[in-house]
Amino acid sequence: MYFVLTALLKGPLHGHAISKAIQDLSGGRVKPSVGTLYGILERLNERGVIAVDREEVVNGRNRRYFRITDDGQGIVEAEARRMRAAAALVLREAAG
Amino acid sequence: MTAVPLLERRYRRLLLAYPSGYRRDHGDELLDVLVESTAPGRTRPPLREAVGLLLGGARTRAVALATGSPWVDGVHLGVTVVAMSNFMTLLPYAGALPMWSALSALSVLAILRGWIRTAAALTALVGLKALAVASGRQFGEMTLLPVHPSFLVERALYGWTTPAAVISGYALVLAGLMLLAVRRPATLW
Repeated sequence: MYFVLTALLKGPLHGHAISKAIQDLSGGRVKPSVGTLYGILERLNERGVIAVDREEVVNGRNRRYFRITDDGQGIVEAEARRMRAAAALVLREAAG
Repeated sequence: MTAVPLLERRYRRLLLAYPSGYRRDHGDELLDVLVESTAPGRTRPPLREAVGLLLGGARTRAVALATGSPWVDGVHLGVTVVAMSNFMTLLPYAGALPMWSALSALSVLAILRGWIRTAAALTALVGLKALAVASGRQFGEMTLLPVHPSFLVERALYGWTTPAAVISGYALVLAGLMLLAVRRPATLW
């Protein structure tokens, strides 16, 4: 979820682009299956963390572009600050 | 028209794990992403994608079942229970009333499947017969009254109750079905 939200920070993306962005962001470590990815997308969409930005028809097939909402941006930034604070605790000790 | 590639056909089969509504809305979208993210030349979906689709489908089905008004589902459940009890009352007399017992069983099936109009028609029909038997009259085919049981119990049908009590069981089912005709239940079981 963290990676999905991070991927959407730069702008709206469709499913396949989100999947590729997650792999890039995680250095190939995280590679969700399409079923898993869409499960996450539907759930985040229901909760209003992301929203459908627009739909495009490619080769006669519908393609949804998702964007992060203000709520979602707040959540992912709060999570990043929390992790930075948590990391700082350890790194300060180690540098100590 | 070109033949649908083998890989796409196989992915489509896996997408059957999802409920039909979701497949109709987003099936092609998922299919596109699946085909795009599968290495070219492959004709068999990778195991992780197959597992992901089966789990994702199961999850989506669970969500679809859990949505909808709990109030409507409650009425549906209540109607099912009362209709079942009406049928169970007739069951020991199935030997004397084969057609009516069968119609009563069909009404329970119709309620379970969410065929509201069929269920209402069957319930009204069987209800009229039940009222006739309980009040010592004839309705539909001629029936020898009182109706004696074929098995399980010893008393004659409705010998222990009043016509008003008998008809209220059927009236309750009909009232519930009328509500369900306005707001269809999401859960069919």
